[in-house]
Amino acid sequence: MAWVRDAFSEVVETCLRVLPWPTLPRLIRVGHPGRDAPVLLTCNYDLTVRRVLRALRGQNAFLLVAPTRGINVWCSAAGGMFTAHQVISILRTSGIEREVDHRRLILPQLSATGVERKLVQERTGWHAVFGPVEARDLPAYLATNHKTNEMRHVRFPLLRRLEMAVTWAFPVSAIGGVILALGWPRLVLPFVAMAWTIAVALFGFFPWLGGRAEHGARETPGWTRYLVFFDPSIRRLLVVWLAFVAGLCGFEYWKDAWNIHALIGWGLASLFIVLLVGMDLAGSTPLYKSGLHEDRLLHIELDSDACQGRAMCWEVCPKNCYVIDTERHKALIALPDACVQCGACVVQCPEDALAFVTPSGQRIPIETIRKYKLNLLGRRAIAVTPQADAAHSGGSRREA
Amino acid sequence: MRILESAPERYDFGIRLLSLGRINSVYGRVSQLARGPDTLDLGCGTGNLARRLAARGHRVTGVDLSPEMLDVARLKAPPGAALNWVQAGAVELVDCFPPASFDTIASVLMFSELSPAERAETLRQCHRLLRAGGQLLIADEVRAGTFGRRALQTMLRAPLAAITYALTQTSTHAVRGLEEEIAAAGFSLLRRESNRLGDFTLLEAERKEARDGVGA
Ligand SMILES: C[S@@+](CC[C@H](N)C(=O)[O-])C[C@H]1O[C@@H](n2cnc3c(N)ncnc32)[C@H](O)[C@@H]1O
Ligand code: SF4
Ligand code: SF4
Repeated sequence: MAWVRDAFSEVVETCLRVLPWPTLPRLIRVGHPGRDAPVLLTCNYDLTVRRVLRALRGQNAFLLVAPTRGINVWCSAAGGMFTAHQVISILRTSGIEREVDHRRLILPQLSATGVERKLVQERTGWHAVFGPVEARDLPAYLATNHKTNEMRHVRFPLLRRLEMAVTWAFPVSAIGGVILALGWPRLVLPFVAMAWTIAVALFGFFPWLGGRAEHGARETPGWTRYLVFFDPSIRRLLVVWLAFVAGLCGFEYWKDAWNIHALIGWGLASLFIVLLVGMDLAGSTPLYKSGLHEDRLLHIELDSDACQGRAMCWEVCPKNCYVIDTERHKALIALPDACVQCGACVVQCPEDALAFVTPSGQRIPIETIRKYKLNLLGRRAIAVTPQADAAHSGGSRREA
Repeated sequence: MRILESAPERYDFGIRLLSLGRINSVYGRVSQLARGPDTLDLGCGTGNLARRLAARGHRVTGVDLSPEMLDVARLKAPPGAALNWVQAGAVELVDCFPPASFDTIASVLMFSELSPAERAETLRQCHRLLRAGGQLLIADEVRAGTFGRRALQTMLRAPLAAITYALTQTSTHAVRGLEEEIAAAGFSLLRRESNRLGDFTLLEAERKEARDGVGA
């Protein structure tokens, strides 16, 4: 009956996906791994661990579950909870070193924003490589030892989008439903139906609605991030709302029971839901970074002289922004507009040839990104300016 | 939800609220017991304990995983105090300090954030970093011993924890079996002080000389 329990956890955790769902950091044996079996590592978000294990069915491998506070790979890496330190911790405490003869570790590609491989190597002797983005590509990757462009690319297919719709619809309809049940039990069902319809529409039509902050040439003052609703791309969300209101009108016309109060009431309620769910539509996806963050207008600058063409940027970019000129041994940013500012390339470039630049032309020190990540989940105590960074760029080494 | 470091500037307020102000007496008691003079504050957070120890004349090193927490600690440190900050995980102490570097290692509310395997490894490394007869001081939230007390603990804490989390994204977590783990890492327990409810404990232990080679 293990699959019943599994399916149940899957449903519950999908509905409550906004919460961390930690599982014990540990070493898991998949199949019958030998002393040369591959060693993979993932976050300790329960849903992810189960999905990776499903993808690895039939393989022989070791899977390390790192203590990332029960948060998924992408969010914990960008939020500074999936860094070299968590990798070092599980390498040291899981007993894996006694199990295998090699020291090669396969990390999920989306952890590249957080994990500094150099520190892992220095402190443990393990050499880390970035495997595919998706767990389902692991068997092919392990079989060929080769990562295709496809495996590097982050996508947001319909099934994933519907999952995110559930993630939003469930808490919104649960909280709203409970409140309504206290005073207006008749309204519970229509409200719940509305929340699910809107969430499914927003995420279902996501590719056509956009939802990403545009790369503006002009720097907007910090407070404008509270006005994301007025972001040009977000205005398109209103299409979903208008469609919903049109649906309401159609329904009343069909029932031949015009009730202007109900229309206004539901119209406003649906607008609220659209804005709530749409508020951070971009941040709910693996495609874009959160639009609620002040750093959303950064772009990548490449110092061609420093670049040695070792292609780490190309290896970790989830949007395939880079091409490598193999003759001149130089990287080129072929698709600058596809960049989602995840920071993976900046963190991983061995020559420090890449950096984020603000719209006003300020270069953000690379050490700052390595140390604080993009910190999407939290806030910095100290504003990131070139000066502030100079004062303590000690990284993880001992400071005087 | 334990995104503790996500709001380091609110951490101090959060932890005072969650402990109903008692956290200050914990820092006080720990710094009173600490012998020093070379003292490590492990999981130092915003440096509340480290500053008190420095004020008592210790040479203090604060270690924490979170660069944001350490930023707050640096801002709060009085100029010229014998304080030094290192960003590292608890199982990376041996990478940062040579053996026998400290007389005292103190740690408040950090062990409860580690996995059991991490606790064991951290204690082993503490053993290595302490000088002969060195002192280990751990103050943390523990799971109350009896079922009745545990239920009481949960009931009393839940609403407070929810409010604190909502306001400050700060939370804590109770640990089990710490005394056995300390003993297993080669320490002898000298002192145990608990609050009335039995959910917060201060443990003092001393580095046993490595007859059996544990951790040496
Ligand atoms: C609840 S706070 C306690 C802070 C401080 N000791 C106090 O009493 O105010 C826990 C601290 O432990 C740190 N921490 C958590 N896991 C850690 C680890 N594995 N290594 C080092 N520090 C860690 C966190 O960054 C956080 O600052
Ligand atoms: S990782 Fe850095 S050095 Fe290597 S190709 Fe990319 S930009 Fe050039
Ligand atoms: S180019 Fe942009 S999307 Fe690609 S790795 Fe760098 S920051 Fe991320």
